[in-house]
Amino acid sequence: MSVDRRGFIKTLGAGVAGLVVGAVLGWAAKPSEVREVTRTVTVTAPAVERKLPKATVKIGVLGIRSGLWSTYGEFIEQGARLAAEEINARGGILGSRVELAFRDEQADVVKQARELVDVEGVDFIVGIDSSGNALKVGGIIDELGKVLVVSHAATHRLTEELVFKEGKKLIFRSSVPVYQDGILAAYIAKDLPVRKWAGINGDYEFGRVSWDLFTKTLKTLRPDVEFVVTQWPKFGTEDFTPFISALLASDAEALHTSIWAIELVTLQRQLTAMGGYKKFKAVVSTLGYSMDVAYALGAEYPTAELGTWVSARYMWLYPSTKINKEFVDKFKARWGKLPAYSAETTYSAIYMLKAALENAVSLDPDAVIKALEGMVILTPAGVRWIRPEDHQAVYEVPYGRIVHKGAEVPLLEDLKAVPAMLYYRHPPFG
Amino acid sequence: MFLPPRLRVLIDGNIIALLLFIGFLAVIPLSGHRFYMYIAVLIMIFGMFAMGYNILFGYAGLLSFGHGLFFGVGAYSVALFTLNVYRDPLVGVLFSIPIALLTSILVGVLTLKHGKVYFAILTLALSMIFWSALVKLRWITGGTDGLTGIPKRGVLVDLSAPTTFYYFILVFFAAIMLGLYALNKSRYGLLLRALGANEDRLPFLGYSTFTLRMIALTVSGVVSALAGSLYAVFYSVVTPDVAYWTFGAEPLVMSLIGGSSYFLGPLVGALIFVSLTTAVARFAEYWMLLLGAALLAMVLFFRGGLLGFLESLVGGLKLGVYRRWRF
Amino acid sequence: MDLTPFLVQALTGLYKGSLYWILALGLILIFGVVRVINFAHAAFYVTGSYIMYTFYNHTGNFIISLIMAMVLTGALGVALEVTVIRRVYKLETIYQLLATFGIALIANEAQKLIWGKGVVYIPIPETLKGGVSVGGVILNHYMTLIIVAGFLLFIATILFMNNTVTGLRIRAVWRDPVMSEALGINTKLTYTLVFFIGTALAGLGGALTVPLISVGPGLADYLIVTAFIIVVVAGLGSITGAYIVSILVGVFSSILVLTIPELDIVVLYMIAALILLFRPQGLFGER
Repeated sequence: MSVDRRGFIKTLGAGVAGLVVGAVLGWAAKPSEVREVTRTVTVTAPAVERKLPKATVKIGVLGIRSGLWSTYGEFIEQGARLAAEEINARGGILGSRVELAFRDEQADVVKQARELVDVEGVDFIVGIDSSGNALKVGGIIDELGKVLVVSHAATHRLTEELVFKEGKKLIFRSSVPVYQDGILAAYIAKDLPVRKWAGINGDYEFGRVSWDLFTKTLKTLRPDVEFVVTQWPKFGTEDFTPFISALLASDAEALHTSIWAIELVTLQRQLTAMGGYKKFKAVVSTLGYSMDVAYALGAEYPTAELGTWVSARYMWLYPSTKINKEFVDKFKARWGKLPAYSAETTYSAIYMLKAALENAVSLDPDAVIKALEGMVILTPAGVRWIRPEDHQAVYEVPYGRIVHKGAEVPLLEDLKAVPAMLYYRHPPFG
Repeated sequence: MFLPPRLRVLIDGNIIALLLFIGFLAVIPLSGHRFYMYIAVLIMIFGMFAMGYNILFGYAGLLSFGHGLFFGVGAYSVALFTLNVYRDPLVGVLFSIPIALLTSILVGVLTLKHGKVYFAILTLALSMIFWSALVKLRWITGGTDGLTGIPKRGVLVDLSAPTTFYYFILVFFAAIMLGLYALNKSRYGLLLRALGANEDRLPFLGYSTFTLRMIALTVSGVVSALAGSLYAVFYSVVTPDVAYWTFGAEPLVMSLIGGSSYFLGPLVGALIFVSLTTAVARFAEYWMLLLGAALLAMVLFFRGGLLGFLESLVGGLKLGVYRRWRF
Repeated sequence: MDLTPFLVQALTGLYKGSLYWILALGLILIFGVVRVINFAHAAFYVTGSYIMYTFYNHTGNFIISLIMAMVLTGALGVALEVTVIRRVYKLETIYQLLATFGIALIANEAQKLIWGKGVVYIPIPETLKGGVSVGGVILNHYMTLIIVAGFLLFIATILFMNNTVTGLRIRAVWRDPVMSEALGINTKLTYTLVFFIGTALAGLGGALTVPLISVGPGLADYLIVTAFIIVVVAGLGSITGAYIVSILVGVFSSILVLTIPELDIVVLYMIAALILLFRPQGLFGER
């Protein structure tokens, strides 16, 4: 084992303490803007002038901007723009303006990343929706030589393998990975009075790992459960009817799914039409509270007898802090809709970079990495701790039960939050 | 000129243009501009893919929709070999050659007996099986996320410096281009073109169309797979996308853009295609719209490809048209 | 062994197959008569979905919206035929493919500009919301409607082709355009007519699916693949064959989902390839 146990526990302890301190500060002080808590408390201001070597900090933003999933690129863009506009309105980062350059990751993501770095001359890259694309850019990150903050792609391999095992230190992630869809989903499932589970997940790494982590965790938490049927529709399935009838042919009592976006909208509507909500007493939909889905289904969002339990990588109604409320209001004023999760994770990714630059007072990647590692920062989604070993932002997102209250989107009740340190996997990722 | 006649036959506009282009590629790293080097590598890889493709399409007159299969076989064999057997990119790339050879023969046996239309459909079907297997057999292929960590630095060679890698690719590119040029000038090249032009007459002259097509498919398959294996080392990642039929259709588009009835057409097409997709992707939202419009314009106004268009402007340009193919 | 699950899978497969059929019918008509492989066909299908969505949101009337979706999609098809497709008739197949592929790319992006990037759908009509329960699965009335509509469309197409003068003209051009021209059939007009019918059918199919399938820009890319497999396996040029193969693909893939979910698409493609290896002209095609 490369990390000794005592050191690991110490870091873990520090992380927990950081989260607690941050959370307490967040609630008590209710700062009106995103800022980095620990550093503002501990750092004494140096006497020299704090300025970056360039008048503009350029950030490349990658997202899916064409095809069936192009809404997700739009969410990333909205979050990034809002952050940049706010920062520039307040004088930039140490006086340097933030400038954004957007690219479609569907147009050969490696080429786009290269062009951002070599032609546009960006200092950082944020975004990336698809796990496959994140791994592709991650694979050549040392050649790019710039810090990358992934704000959506959820594959655990990015942080566990590329950062932790292969030591690609330039990669960070501001969004919660597949732990949310697998492990935390199992924590929610264990409290439901059902034994027999069905699963429908996408036939790609993310869907496979979601189900794998879900079944393993749930089996340890509740040895009496059974997993009776599993379906694997491929990416880009336009019609789920045969999969649904195969699920309904089993004697399952509840359903787990990490299907997302337009496919989830179809899945939910077809489940309703085919009697799925008469059969399943509970449905756990790990990305069910993504805003595109919530808006599209609206009042038709089906509710199971024991609840349709949904989550995302950030949900606008949690946590009820001042900073989150202000973020939601500002976002709504700027874009006319409630913020989608990848908008928040990208917004916070840029604020993470801002905090790191203000601390490092340098654009040197090594200095920025050092400033980001172990950072504790208050963001709309709550306190994020950037775990030094795997560069994963540790913060919690709860699950909730869909209820209809006549609002512009369905709301959530019985929010269930589990401390992030409990449901995230930890180095050395056995 | 004191050149012996055998050699004089070998020299025409194509080889001069090719050597000039290779020379140009060789000096690009001197500019020190990493993105130009990157784009040049892409042009070389896709140039090899398209030139390999056109042996079958432009020469033998066979339309394949399944060349993603060969590209994918090359890419995945180098990935699986370097990750599981021997960690070296050069050995991995060389290893992909026999694999591609076997694959090409197998594909040929299955598809070459039925005629041109069915060849197109069958190659498409085979490549889709291969693609779905790459997606589904995830314990071997890594599923949709593919295989990561294909090394540039191996036991024998270290290609991790961008310039080293660039010249590594350039050596393969130059070797393949000159090899294809030699084939073009050889008796087989002539026979292949004859096959494309009039397949019914060749058997009367005592040639087996099946054997000739098999040769064309094998050359085409191996060159495409080599391009695929270099692509895998270049990106250090492979995903099933490279075996999907849309990817396999790219060399076809490139051949047509450049002019599939010209020896250098596919290379010119690759050059235009890579530059064009790079340029229009800057208009983040609408690059597909522009690409669609470009395709439509090409079909409606520049069917001979760029070289055909140039030839119509400058009549008598000796670029070596050998036939008008028809599918 | 309880066979109910298989019956249920077969029924959902029947519904899926009927949807495939509506998509494949227009494709095969256009290919048979006009001899153009219309890559943009699925884009017309999705356009039908969007038009349905727009009209339904404004009128709330299902039938009127359906008719408008059909007619307007067909009109778009004619506009395209007159301006672009007509110019590629005489070209090699590959150029036709590329031209229609270009059109499909443009159409996808145009849909994004007109209808936005979000997901759209309309509710299932109130009267059809219920369903028949078979072995715990509700076969929704709307799904039954699709199955019936697909079958009626098949009968209507056969009757139209065999028993009307227009149908006779279309068959004549299908068989031998040169001879038909010599016999005084206006082939140009027939081409335009068939293009109208084909694209209007795509519009109808797209419109019929909006209550069950959510639509977004670029959906066509995922639909066209299955439609091509069906047309190729059926053999280019057989209407009855296309119907049978659509239903078979629907039912068969549905049963594969139940029995071997780990390898369903691999097996499906392998069967398609095996059929083509032994009958390259397709199950119902003439060599």
